[in-house]
Amino acid sequence: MKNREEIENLSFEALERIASDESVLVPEGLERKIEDGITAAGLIEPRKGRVPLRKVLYGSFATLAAAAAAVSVAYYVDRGSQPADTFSDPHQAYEEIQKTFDYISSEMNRGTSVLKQIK
Amino acid sequence: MLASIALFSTGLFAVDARDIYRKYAGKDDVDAVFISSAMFRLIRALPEVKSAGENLDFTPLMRSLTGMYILDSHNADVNGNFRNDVESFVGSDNFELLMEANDGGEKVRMFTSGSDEVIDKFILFVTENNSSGCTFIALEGKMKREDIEKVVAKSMK
Repeated sequence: MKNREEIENLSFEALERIASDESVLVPEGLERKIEDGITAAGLIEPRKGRVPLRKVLYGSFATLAAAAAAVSVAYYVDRGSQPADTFSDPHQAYEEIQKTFDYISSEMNRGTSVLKQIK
Repeated sequence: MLASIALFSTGLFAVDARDIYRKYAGKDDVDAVFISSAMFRLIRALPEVKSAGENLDFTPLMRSLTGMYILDSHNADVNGNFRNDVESFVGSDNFELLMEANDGGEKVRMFTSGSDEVIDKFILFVTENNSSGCTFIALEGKMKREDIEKVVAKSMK
């Protein structure tokens, strides 16, 4: 096993020869371990797609909360507005109310007349 | 989280009389009338209303009304959806059936919503059996149940 000084003094050709030597087995997961170590040191960007779970959940909740707030605002703005009065003159409105109550009474009378027939 | 937001949104968009009125008021062959609480205040101040007093059957009711919606549809194309929307509205747990009658090809139903003492909504819904016509009347306010019962009792005489 070479020490650090010997490795530093190796020529480029020697390094290439060692790298192409397939008889030396590379431990499984070594590449990832090296990248993780460098990531931890802050020297390279993390792998794409490896977003921390906490950030994903926070982002989702924030999006949903914003959507719920937008829906609520739209709902209350819409509910606040009522239709325009059909009549601008209260006398005309009163006549309409009288006709409406006469109609309601006649429909009630129609229903109760059926009851009278049964009796 | 998603389920709770879905339920919340569903509750927000529950249909009421104003929604039904706004949906159908501009359609062809649909007569629409809306009287607001502000207009009811003006009406109550009219001399002929003040002087009529208790001689009018509906004076006690009119004192307590805050809104009235009327839709009278003869548009066969919208009557199907119109009927479904009203059925959905009165089908909620808030309403109880006051009266129902089938007579002369028409079905008449009246519903109320509120407590034992106070009715906050009164609905009259008349549908013709051949779907050629639908009439929807919604009264909103704080109506004493006994005032409604007096009107019903008088109609039985």
